[in-house]
Amino acid sequence: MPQRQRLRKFIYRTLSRLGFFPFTFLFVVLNAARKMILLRQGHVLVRVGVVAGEAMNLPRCMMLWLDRVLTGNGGHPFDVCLRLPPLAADANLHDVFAVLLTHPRLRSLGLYWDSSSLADDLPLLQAKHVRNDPAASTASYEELGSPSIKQFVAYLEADHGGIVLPVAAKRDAQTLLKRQAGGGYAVCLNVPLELRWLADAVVSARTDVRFFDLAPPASSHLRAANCQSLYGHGLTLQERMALAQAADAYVGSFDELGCAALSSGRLVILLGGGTAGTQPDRISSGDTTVWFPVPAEPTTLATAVVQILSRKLAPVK
Amino acid sequence: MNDVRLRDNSQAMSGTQGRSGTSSDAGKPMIGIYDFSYGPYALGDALTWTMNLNIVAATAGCNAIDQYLVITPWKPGSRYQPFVTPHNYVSIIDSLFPAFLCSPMLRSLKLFRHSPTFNLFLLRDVARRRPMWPSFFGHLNRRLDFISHRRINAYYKQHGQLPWLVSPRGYGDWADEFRRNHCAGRFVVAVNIRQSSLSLTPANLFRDSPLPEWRAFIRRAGARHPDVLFLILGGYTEWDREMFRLPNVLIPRVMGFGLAHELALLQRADLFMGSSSGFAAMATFCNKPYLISNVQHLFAEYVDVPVGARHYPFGTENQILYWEVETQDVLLEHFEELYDRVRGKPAS
Repeated sequence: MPQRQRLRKFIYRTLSRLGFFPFTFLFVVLNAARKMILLRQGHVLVRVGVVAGEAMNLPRCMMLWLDRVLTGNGGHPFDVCLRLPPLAADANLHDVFAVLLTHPRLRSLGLYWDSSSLADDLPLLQAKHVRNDPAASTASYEELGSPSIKQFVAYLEADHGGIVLPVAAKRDAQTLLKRQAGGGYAVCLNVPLELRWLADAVVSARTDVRFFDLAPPASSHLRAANCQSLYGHGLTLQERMALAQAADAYVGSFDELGCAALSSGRLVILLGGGTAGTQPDRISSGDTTVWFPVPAEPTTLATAVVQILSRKLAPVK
Repeated sequence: MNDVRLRDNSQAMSGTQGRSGTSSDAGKPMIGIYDFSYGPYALGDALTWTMNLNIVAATAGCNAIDQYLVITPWKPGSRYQPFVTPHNYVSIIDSLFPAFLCSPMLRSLKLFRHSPTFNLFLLRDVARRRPMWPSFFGHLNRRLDFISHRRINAYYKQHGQLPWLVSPRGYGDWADEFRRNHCAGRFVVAVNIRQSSLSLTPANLFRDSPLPEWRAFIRRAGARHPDVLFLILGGYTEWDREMFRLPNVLIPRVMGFGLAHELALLQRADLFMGSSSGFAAMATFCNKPYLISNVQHLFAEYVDVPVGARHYPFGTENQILYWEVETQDVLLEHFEELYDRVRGKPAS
């Protein structure tokens, strides 16, 4: 580390430990000056997401959006502002927060229920050249609604370098799978209620595999011996994401858990999210990811999913 | 005075709080700073801070609040919480976040993990002379009175009412739907039994409540009042497995819900019963009928009431403090008193 940088770090750490006036004042002023230099040099990236109306799957939208924003960002830290509707009643703000925290390069996050406070804060986050260029300033805004097929496909093909889950979540997920599945294969299920039959078909076709189901259980549903529901285990979103990443394969919705599973590089079979007739029945990416945008006829789909699983997770003899 | 309280309470139950303050873009904003280098990661403290912030904002004539949460990633906790490290603080702040969504005046909430960014915001607000709590000098000296009820009591004495907390932003309607679907027509009691010994970060175990007494109380209450439904709140590790077997109990965490849902359910419940802890702070500051048990005697000086006082200075007759370790008889006696009163029956 260069001498100058080391000296700066030493001063910074010393001042931050002297937690009383006037050292704290000096610390505040130096820090603010540093931020102003960063803004002037353009070493900042801020993105504004505008959530319009009801956004039932905002956590998934956030994951797709951040992946797009951060691709080609060169690994720089970034700031995120979210303009939320004042009357939103989606009960998913906590999950949005949890998703954002999985990005270690996130410097700051702002949730705004008011456009004037957002407009007031943005100049302190935008680089000088962006602030002075209306076109660049507008480009940092994006409306977060239902993702398009193109955006889903882009996510399938991206490298997802940004997500880092807390160590405790990863440790607990791996420990659970170790205890429950031992050396056998563990598959994470997150199949929507309307496709329960698919989960049942896959579970009964692979009795040698241990399945961990994160989806809400259907009422009066009889579960097979090799399938365990984790829905009632009180797991946080980050803990469920860690499970989706730790399992040998993921079969389920293209939601925030599906997005997390994709970033693990393991076998991922995604179901739903597309619009009938507007894309192929099956979209593959590499040899580990298959997406069925509009789940097809039951028998065909179940056979296809079991075949893909068997190709990657060959039965242990 | 009672009329004012009743009016406030009915507003809180209407599910419309938390919107009026943000429906307009105009507003004189108050800045609230919660810097985790000297503020604790604790539910009760976060809620008490939010309530104090409401009070300071109301006193200053502000109708909107901008909250700044500040974390230094390489040193995320104060010296009193050495277990908070750069490797686990993300899980800890994630589990606490809903507590910061409970102010009805909340206009924006910012989380800073970068000191230069926060300090630029801070200096801008100081230059604009925006009201803030803690004050700029309070923040510079790491002084934040987030525990005491001094301001709250003084405001109540002067105005006869308080700016109560509400359900976490966005979760109120969900809680109403939950009540319709799972608790239809029943008298809902939100319960939190402090069991720090079972938590992931055990602390002050002497404040824990006796689980067998609570279990016995819930059994007896269920037998005597079959219309009562108990919602057991708290971390997944913190409640007792035997609770599963009780017919008059629902455990939201087992149903896939988290802290934000629990706080909203507490705000929509008919009654809260529990140990003096974070959920009790929510009940206190969202103006629920409650019994808070096992209140620590040490706490008396912070809340400005003598040990043994039955109510906070701003509490009503349906908001009871119990300063000893609870027994099933004590719990049942207080429950029946509150149950009758809340339902409008004369206490037997």
